[in-house]
Amino acid sequence: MKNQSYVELTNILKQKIDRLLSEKIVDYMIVYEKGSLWFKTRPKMIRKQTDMEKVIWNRYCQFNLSTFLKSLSGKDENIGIIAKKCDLGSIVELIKNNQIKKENLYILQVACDGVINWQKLENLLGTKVAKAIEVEEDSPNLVIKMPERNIEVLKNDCLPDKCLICDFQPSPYANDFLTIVDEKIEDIKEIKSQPLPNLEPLDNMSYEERLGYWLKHFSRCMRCYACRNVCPVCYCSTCMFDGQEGLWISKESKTSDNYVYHLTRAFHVATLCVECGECQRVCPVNIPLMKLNSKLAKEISDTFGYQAGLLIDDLSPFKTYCQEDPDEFK
Amino acid sequence: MEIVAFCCQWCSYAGADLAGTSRLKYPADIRIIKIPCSSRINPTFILKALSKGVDGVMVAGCHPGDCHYATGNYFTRRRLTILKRLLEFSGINPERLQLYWISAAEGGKFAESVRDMVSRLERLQDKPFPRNPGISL
Ligand code: SF4
Ligand code: SF4
Ligand code: SF4
Ligand code: FES
Repeated sequence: MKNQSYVELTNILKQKIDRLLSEKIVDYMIVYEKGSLWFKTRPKMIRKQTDMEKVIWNRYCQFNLSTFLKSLSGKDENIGIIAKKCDLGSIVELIKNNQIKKENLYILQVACDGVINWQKLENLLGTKVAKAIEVEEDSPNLVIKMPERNIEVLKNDCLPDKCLICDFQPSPYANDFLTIVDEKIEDIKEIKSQPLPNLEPLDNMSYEERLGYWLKHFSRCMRCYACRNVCPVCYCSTCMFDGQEGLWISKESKTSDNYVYHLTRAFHVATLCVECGECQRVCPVNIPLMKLNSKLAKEISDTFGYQAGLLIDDLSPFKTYCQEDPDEFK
Repeated sequence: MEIVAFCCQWCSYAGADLAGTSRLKYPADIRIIKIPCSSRINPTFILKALSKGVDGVMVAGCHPGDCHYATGNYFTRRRLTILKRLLEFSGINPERLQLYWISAAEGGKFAESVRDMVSRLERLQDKPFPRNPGISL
């Protein structure tokens, strides 16, 4: 999408939110606002129309706002939320698992043709994104305007994995879909659709090598729990890894305990994970958590034919059973 | 060898009791932990035991259809099927986790299951989880 389209979409968005608030359709709106640097955004909850100028929509709105719905469940207020296509998946899971009521939620889907992962962009540039002045789209490239010169990079190389398989279409669960005519949106659709990063390097390893691979990664984990906190579907109000009493694992970041934590976390969200990639994105030490999540999602889909985040009426395969289930046990 | 056995109180634990009172011999490598139902198993129980370096974990419950909470073991079966795949993917031989269906009347099957578990583990080439995984791994 061109920069101009984002500006226009933001204006449409503001008008829409203005109406939602003034007509009291929602009590407040969860939106994106400008972050500390021009290519960063942060979440904002607005109740007053006077806050309206803070609302933005641009290609840096990478994170998933629905993670804030977790802590709001149970309050009797109507919440409006801005959602990208991919965010709808986790909202569906939250509704399905009774974390939030559909009737208390106004989902405002906004057209999106890919958000920039600025860490990926930074790696491509070999320099701080903060040094750039602006980014403009010249499909299929992004033009990065640096003080001295312009650098062109392939847009797909700066996108999170999820965008490469996204269909950009309106979700049946969105209350409204805001879009704009932009011929660039169409362009991108044709050159995307690369397969997700596969798990093969691990599939071909021996058990020792695989365990070594994971322990090497887990030994860096400092258990900041950012991966758990950011996850939109990891919603227990009290996590079994918190609290003083009855600790399952030590507070200290021991590699063996980190192993227990990571496999438990992945398993607990196994039927809920919508592969949004947030957990891996926020990890300060780059642990490839998505490999665990994707593996589990694949096993669940192969075994039970279930995919999270699609339909509100689907039943999670761990909440039901079938007498004829595969039984490899004796 | 060290094996942790989680036995549901209504069937398998009673089965283990029967094996004892019938003076059946089985390898002394297991430590039994009583749980209310096989579906009480949280993956963390299994992961924690394995991460302490035990050779294997066995979970034992009532036969499918016989769970005293009607359907608990059907859920266990689903979860452990997936957990085994996760263990495999993260570098632990899935053979190290087994689920057995043992009723209260099956003292013999209990002893048999422990023997089965031990012989499966003896055949494995790979090592269990290291006792002190250092940073250098
Ligand atoms: S996955 Fe789709 S909706 Fe989500 S950020 Fe990427 S392009 Fe946008
Ligand atoms: S975000 Fe990274 S460092 Fe923090 S707990 Fe998760 S894996 Fe560990
Ligand atoms: S990808 Fe990570 S953050 Fe996203 S739903 Fe799955 S576990 Fe949660
Ligand atoms: S009571 Fe034995 S498996 Fe449920």
